[in-house]
Parts: sequence; C-alpha cells; structure tokens
Amino acid sequence: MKVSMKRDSKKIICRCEEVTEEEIFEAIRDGARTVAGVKRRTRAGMGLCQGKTCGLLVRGILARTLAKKSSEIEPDTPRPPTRPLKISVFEKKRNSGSKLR
Amino acid sequence: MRSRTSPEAIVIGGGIIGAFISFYLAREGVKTLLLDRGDFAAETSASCEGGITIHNKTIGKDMDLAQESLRLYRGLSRELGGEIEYRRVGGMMIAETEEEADRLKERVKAQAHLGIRLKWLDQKEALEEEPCLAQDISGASFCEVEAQINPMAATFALVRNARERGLLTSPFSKVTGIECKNGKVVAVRIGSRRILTRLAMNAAGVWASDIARMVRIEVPIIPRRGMLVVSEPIPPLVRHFLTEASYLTLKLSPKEMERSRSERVRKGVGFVIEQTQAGTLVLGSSRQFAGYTNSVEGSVVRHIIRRGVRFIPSLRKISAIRLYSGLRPYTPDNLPFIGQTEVEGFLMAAGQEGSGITLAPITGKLVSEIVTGNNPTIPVGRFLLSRFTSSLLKKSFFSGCSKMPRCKAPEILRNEAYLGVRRNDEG
Repeated sequence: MKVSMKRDSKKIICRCEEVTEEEIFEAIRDGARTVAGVKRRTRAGMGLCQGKTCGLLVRGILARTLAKKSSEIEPDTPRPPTRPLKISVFEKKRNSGSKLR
Repeated sequence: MRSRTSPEAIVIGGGIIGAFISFYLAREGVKTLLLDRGDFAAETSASCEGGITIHNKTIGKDMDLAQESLRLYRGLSRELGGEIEYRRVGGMMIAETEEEADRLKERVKAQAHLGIRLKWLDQKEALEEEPCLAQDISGASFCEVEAQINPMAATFALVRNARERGLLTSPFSKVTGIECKNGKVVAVRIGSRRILTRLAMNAAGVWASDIARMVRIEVPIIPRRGMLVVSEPIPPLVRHFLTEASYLTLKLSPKEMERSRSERVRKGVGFVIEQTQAGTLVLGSSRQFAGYTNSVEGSVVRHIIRRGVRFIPSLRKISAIRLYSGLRPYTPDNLPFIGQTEVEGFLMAAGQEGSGITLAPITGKLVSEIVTGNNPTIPVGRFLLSRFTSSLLKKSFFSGCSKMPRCKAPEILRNEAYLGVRRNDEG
C-alpha cells in the first residue's frame, strides 16, 4: 500500500488511536527512529489491535523518511496476549497445551 | 552535534529523571546535553504506573522529598499540565483486613499535620468514593492531593520544552567511558567521540551502577522487575489511583516478602491500578529480583490479576490487551542517590525504585540547584551516596534476597493462545 509523503497528510495510519501520518512525521522529527519510538510519542500501536494494522505502515513511513530499508527499522516488541483476552481467563492456572477459549 | 562549544553539563539517561534534570538546567540557562543509549523514555519510564503518591511515604525519610516534588508538579501543571496529562485524581490505600485498617488509621493520624488532605474512609465511605471496589473491603485512606501523569508523555514534553531553551539531545548514544583527571570529570566518551565537560549527571536508573563504574564508584542499585497488565480502553471506571495496604510491606521489606508462605507475597504482588487519560486500565504490581530480563512470567501475571479482581470484581469482564514488565532501580535503603560523589563533577540522580514518577521533579530541581549553587530545596545530605560507607558496600548487598536467576521461558508463552508471538526474553 502506497503511503503519501505529503507533510500535511491527515491520513489515519493507526485506526485504533486515530493517529495521522502527520503526527507520525512529527514523532520522527521529535527523534523517533523505531516503531516503538513512534508508538511512545503518538500512541500508534497502543490501541486494541496492538499495532497489527498499523505496525507495518509505521515501519514503512520510518523507512522512507529515514532513507532506510524497512528491514533496517526495528519493529516493536510483541507482547502477550496475541489478541484481547478477558481478564477472567488469566485467573486460572493452565497447563501447557491446553486450549484457551 | 552541531554546537562548537562543549556542554557545561551532560545528563546520562533520558527517562523521566534525566528529562526533569534537563528541564530545570535549561531553565537556568545551563548548556546541557542529554544522552541515552537508546531512545528517550524507552525503559523504566515507559513501563510503569503514573501515580504521584505521598501518603505511602515515610516521615523523616522520603516524605519531604515527595511533598516538594508534588508542589513542583502542581507548579508545572499550569504550563505543561495538558502535555504531561497531569490529573489530580486523589489516591487511596485500601485495607483488606481490620489489622490493615488499624495501621492505615494510625498512618492518617500520624500524617494529619502534613496538610496533604488525608482522611480515613470507612467501608461505606470508601465504596461511595470508589464504587468499583469490592463490597467487603475494610476501608481506605484517601489522599486528595495525590495525582497521576503519563510518564512517557511527560518525558517527551519536558525534553521538547527544554530543547526550546537550548537543551542539546543525542539519543542512541551509548556512554562508553567517563574521563577523570585529578579526581574531576573532564570528558564523557561515546564510542570514539569525546565530549569535554566538567559535569556528568548519572540518571541512568537501573543501569546507574554501570555508569558509576566508569569513574570507579560502586553504586548499590540493582534492577527490580515489576509486571503490568493493560486493558482495552473503557468508559470511566476507576476514579482514583488505587493501591492495597500491603503494597507498602512489599516495597519496603523484600526479606520479609521472600520468606512468606503465600506465593503471591513471595512474588511481590500488590494491587495497584490506575485509569489513564486514554481510558485504559494499568493494573499491577509485582516486585522481583530477576536480573536485567524484562520478560513476563505467567504465574506473576496470574497473581496480579487475581489480586485485581479481588479488589475490583468487574475487571473480569474487561479485556487485557498487553502484558509487559519494567525494571526499577532498587537501593538497599529505599532512598535514591541524589547529589555529589567523591568524584568532583559526577553527580548521582538514580535509585528512586517504585517512586520514580513521584520523585522526578524534586530530583531534577535538586540537581540543578547543586549545579547553579542555589540553596537546595531540601538538604541533600540524606541522599548522598556517601551514606553507604565502604564497609556497608562490602557487606553482601544481596544477603537475604534470592540471587538473580536467569529467567526461565515464561510459561505464559507456551499457551496456544500465544502462538505466533515472537519470543523476546532477552530483556
């Protein structure tokens, strides 16, 4: 997906937290060099989907802005759970291999 | 760095402590360079609760420090309140048993003269003040002046503000050495680069002892790991910054903690919760000496969550979206190291452990006062590194506490629900 490099882009990159491309450029100007750095400054990637939707886009914006390859941009550290889980799920002890509904 | 002249001061560590030091120094017109081995607000300040707590402090020890710090936050909030998300939510310590209630009531009495709007709430009053709480709690102490901020946002806002007043910054610049001559700091090295300066501030928190070793000083700071659970954003549920009464024991007496029969207590789990401006709940907490690994341990998370639903039953229906942990800088006497050391120009500003957010402003202020020669807001004698004589340092610092183990693969990551998550155990 092509992402425009217009500086005043109001295009929303992180849908969960409604972070625009312009805010991401601002974060890079503020010193962000990694996906986590953008996240900490803008909240992009902190929402419900935890960066599943915007992570690659942010990485791409960083790459193009910093004139690097996407693979040279450090992605954020994924943390459990892989999807939102009701807190009650964590109350019981589970043996490895058991399925979580 | 484009500047031709050397900085008067170099702050090592770009978390909230380093940010506050830089903020105050910039205000005083001191030419400062802020360094971090990584990005700013990347470590402890990005993995902690945002509470500014006063009534859990100890009179004669850190109470005055905390009160002054809160005053500074209030003053700042006029200028930067929105950016740091400063909110005066008030703080409650919740008693589960009659015994805890009695102890909290004593604390309220003992602190009555401090003017911190502290009062005891019985069960009925506590539930009126915080309706989400479980019906069977014994009561709570309520301190209206306590507040909350967003530590990450605050760090960035302070640095931005200081930059406007001339602060130089260089993230992703690991300090590899500090040069001294005749017992005085003369330069800081970043790889092959050498930056001349006469003042180096050690705000490296969890890694402060590594920095201090560069000037041949032993600083007894070791990492203490705490885990957090973040929820999906929800409508307003938690009105105040909440902690349970036994949190104090866990923070202050690790030896007592480690000898407990209760697994929850051994893992240092004590209920803490806040609702952020974004609407998410940040639930904690735990305290473990686990070296420098910041991985997530399943059993600890389980205890945190069980403790959470014990105090706020409706938590069960809310979803968790992220589990992570952060390292905090622990000192043997639960007091930070602020101020001069035997190396002239090398100042300490680290070791606030779980009170980093609360004590950040006063730390920054005191350091800037030392640098400019102004009268210190609070005499720093109590916080000097020299309070640990060399004999105390030689005595095994870790006696009574378990040795720092290599972290085992977190059991939580073996569960099927977490398949596909890339393991990142190596802190």
